Amino acid sequence: MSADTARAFAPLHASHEFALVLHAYRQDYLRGLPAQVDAIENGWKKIEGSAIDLDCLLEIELVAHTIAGSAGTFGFGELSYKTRVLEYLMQELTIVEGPARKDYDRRISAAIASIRLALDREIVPDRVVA
Amino acid sequence: MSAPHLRVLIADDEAHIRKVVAAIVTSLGGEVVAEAADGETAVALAEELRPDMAILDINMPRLTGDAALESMLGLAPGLIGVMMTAQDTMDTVRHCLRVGAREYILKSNPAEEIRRILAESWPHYVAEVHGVAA
Repeated sequence: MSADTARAFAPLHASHEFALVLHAYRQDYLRGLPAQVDAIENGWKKIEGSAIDLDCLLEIELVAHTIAGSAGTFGFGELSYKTRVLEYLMQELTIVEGPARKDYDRRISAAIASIRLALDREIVPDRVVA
Repeated sequence: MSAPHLRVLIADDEAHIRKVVAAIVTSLGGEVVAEAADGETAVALAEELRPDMAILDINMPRLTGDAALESMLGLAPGLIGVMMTAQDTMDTVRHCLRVGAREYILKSNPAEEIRRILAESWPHYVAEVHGVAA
């Protein structure tokens, strides 16, 4: 291959190598997600229907914020969007009072269930390499 | 002699994101000179290593990315600051641009798209830093 040809193909090689590296990183990221969604679910069990534990609430919000921020980068757009919704609902929960609380509890439970479903859709045998 | 390239500092509190951004930078011909998981460390590393470009998250412990960029530009006005964040409110975008960010990239974009966005301006930044035609 001439120097000119090598130069012409260099961006393609870089792009191809990037795609391979990204695929590996994406699998690694995906493997860590179930534990994070478990943390959201377990944290919510402590709060749902009872007095707000602010530390617990902030922990859930932080995990949701982290997933919302990073999942899109790894190509999991639905998961990113759904965790963004949860992050917003958790922020609202700190100011909700009275009868509206029950409604927020229902919405948050539904949001968490939809996050789990979105994750389950991503984790199929041909996408996660052990 | 090696081709002119950009020396890049990456700051994000999430290791997964730092790895992806590092892969993007490397694939564009850049050199990752440092990675930081918080804003304070990023500023200290920028002062020590004088990178050409800093790619910064906004929400980071100890010091936010926008505040970190402001400090870095105080030390090195020629630094190319790129914000990469999940925050998409106009107020935040406006604030970061006012502070001196040259690009504002949303993390909701898939990595391939983020790479494409950076690839478009990359030659111009190389030219700016090294004084050669883009």
